[in-house]
Amino acid sequence: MKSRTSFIGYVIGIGVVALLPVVIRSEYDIHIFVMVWIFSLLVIGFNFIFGYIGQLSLGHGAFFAIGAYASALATLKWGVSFWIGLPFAALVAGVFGFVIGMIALRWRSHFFVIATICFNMIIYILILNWVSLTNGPVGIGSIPVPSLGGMAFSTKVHFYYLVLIFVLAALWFTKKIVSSPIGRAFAAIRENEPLAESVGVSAYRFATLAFVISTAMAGMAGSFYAHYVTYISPEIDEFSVMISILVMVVLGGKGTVLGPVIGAVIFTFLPEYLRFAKDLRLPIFGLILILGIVFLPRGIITLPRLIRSRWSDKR
Amino acid sequence: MKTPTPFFILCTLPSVTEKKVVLFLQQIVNGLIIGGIYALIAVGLTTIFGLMHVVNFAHGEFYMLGGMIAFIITQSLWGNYFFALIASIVIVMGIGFLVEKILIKRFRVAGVDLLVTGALVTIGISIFFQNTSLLIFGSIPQLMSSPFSTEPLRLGPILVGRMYVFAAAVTVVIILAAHFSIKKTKLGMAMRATFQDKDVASLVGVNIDRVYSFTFMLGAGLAATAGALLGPIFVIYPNVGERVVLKAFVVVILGGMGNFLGAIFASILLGVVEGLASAYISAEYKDLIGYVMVLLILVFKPSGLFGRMKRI
Repeated sequence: MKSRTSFIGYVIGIGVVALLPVVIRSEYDIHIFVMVWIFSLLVIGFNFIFGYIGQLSLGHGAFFAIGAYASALATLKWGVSFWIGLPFAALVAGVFGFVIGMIALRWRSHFFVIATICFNMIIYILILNWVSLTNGPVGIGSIPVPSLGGMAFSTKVHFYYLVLIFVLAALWFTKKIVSSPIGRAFAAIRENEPLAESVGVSAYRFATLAFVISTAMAGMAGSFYAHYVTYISPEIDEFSVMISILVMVVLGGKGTVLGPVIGAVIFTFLPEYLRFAKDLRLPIFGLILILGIVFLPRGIITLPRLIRSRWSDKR
Repeated sequence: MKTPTPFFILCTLPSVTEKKVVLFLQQIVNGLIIGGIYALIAVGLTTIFGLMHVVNFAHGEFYMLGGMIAFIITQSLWGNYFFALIASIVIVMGIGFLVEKILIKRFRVAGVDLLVTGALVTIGISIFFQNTSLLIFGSIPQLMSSPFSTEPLRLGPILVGRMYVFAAAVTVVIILAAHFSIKKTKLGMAMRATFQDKDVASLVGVNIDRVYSFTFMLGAGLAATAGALLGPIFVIYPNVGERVVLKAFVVVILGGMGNFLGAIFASILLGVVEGLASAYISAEYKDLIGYVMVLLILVFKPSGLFGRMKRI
């Protein structure tokens, strides 16, 4: 019964997101939705290390940037297609993730937090100053849009479906991992690390594995971003990107499959609709983050359950 | 992140033959002074971490607020720098007190994992303070006017700005005062007891709430002192805290998390190495050194340069 209702839920959910571009006629709103899906890919990845393992990475902006630059440079300098650039971005970001994970996940906790933010700064300084490779603060423009069998993904609607397919695949992959023995090992490490270690689950190894998955996905998101916007600059590795990721995952619901995506939808649209508030936007963001952690520590995804239990308490 | 104006002291050199030696010594002196200021920021951060296990991302904002508030006071009717210095420290300590009482205490009492939650909450506080000050002060970098003459002091061939000397002197006095109050006073003893084992400390009658409150205020006050002292030397702007807190994290890791003296030595080391690197290697890449050192230290000696690993 339960699996049947959730199956119907999936079909309806996928149907809604697949039909959105047909319903929404405004180019601008479709553009925002493309950004939502790109960010979704990024936060689904981030959720692996933060939500499932419980380690706070503040370097995901850097892995996003690494993916974007790797893919853009591969297509521009070597002339390969987007379909090579995308896995290349995932590979490069994943390799960096592996190295940083090997270094910083050995000690985890605060060491990991600070090591990842240091890595973020290293990459930012390199992108900004290694002008011969990255073009420095000027950035890289005219990145080719992807094409498949002679058809270019040149319109926003095309890109919408392209990214959506990858987001759905990432969600499916997440669900598979979470319900596999690997996912149970992740949960064991997050809930009680010494106990997990005592039954032979190496926190170091599984955390590194989660981090590699996580960073490879961030790299892919970066590649999509580069080929969608067709222009990248060091700005994509600024700390504000990292803050958006955090807000999305924390307030959406960390450690859940759909929570981060819900967070991505709300917190990509919210800044657009907070435009009337202009300069107050970011202070409001800071307050939302604080209030969210205080009052909704498990994210918006738990809101219906919370309301339901409140309601039944009252009766 | 914007780069603030580079660190310069007018350097008129006496003769060509001595040029290299003088440049080297000049960089060492510059590095020592900057290192001292790093120490002022990092000591508070490392103490907060050691005692409360909070990675305090809002620490840079206390520096920024210290500088901003001092700037506003110097611009106002009672525009005396020394009054502004003291007033800004007191105000920021008040802000630190409120932040701890209203937000951080809440999570400590609730018994959630302060490491991740504390980092998230302080990131939220940091965004809030940064952007609120952006609204109030605007994004234009401000430079306070120095209370001293711009004529530098001469130590032989080496020139040091008067404001630098004052900042270094205040830094030394304040760090010594903080060190002795932790070592000698009753509250300091309570802090050390809490550091070792907060449950036992609480059992023998240490008021943990008061210790945490004081620690956070002390950290905020030290960071604000640094902000107000550097106001006439570097420019101050709403996002400056981001850079500052990162430097402080580097120092805290190099010195060993929670290690008071380690933080001081690591600060001076980083200040000197950066000074030399910007003179001999490249000013663009000098910031890279600290970040790379953090990754290296995690590989080779995670307890920090100077200490044994403390059980946390």
